[in-house]
Amino acid sequence: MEHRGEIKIIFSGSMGAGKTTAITELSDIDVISTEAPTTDEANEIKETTTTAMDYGELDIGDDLVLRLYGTPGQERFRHMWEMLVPGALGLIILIDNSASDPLGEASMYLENFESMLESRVTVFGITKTDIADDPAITDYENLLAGHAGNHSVIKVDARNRQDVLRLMDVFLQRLEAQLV
Amino acid sequence: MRDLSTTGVRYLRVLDVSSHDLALLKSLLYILRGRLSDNWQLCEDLPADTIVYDSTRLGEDSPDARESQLVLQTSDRTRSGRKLFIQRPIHSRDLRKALNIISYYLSAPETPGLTASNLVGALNGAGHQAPDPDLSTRDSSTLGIISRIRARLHI
Repeated sequence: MEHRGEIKIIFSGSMGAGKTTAITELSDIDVISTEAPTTDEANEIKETTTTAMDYGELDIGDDLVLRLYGTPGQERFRHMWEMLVPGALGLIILIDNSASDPLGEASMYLENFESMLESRVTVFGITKTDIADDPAITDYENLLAGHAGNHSVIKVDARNRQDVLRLMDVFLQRLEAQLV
Repeated sequence: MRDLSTTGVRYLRVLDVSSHDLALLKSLLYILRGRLSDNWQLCEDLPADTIVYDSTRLGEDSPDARESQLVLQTSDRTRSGRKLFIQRPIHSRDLRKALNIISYYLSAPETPGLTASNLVGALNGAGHQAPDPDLSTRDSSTLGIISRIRARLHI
């Protein structure tokens, strides 16, 4: 059996931040989503589910495939990160700006996954700024400035393909900048 | 056991492992299915005409165990024509053990190109030939890949 070369990018973010939507915009195949029961220790509600992993693919010619993985950022999904992140070109983390504490969420990534982020290109895409424009991008930039790593932050509407492409463009720019 | 493994396993079904592991395994199996030959399928439901074997007691039909265990299904049929399942106890949190068992079956001769080490690569989300880009130095192959992604996305 002949295997194509493979590369991967990891998308992360809280439920509803736009991971699945963004991957869908890029993927050649129908995005595969698996769900896990919500087992947040803080509540007993188990009827709802959260997407534990999204998977999409983008063909880059006959010999190469870009695998697109989406996984939540909560600490309880750390094992997913540990399995997915090694070997990745980098990460795209989507933050829902309309959430109760989006800056705190960005902080959580930077602190909980510091060792995985500091050596990889990471682009924070701030979504739902049409619903909530505070905090501002400069607030995120200030936050990122206090952490080691090749990070950048932009606004993005995950429902808009052009926005998702712009997100990818920024990601690739950062990757190139790290190489040259 | 050895005889069965050489026939290759073509169906996989995961039952009642922990939700985290189940999500991950399902994803990986979907991915692996795409990578493997067409004779692999993710088995969504056990057909009614099947029997389930606990491999630790090979030869004994133990249908009750199917509710809490990881099941590897072969396409083989028993002499009576029923589909054959091979089953081993999997602790809900013992993902590594489950994967070891899967890799054991995936290493069967009828699945050329996929070995236990390849599976580990797949489980790392990269696949056995995936580059782990060294970004500490200029890497022309990675630059080439970036260029190709740009071209593909028209950005």
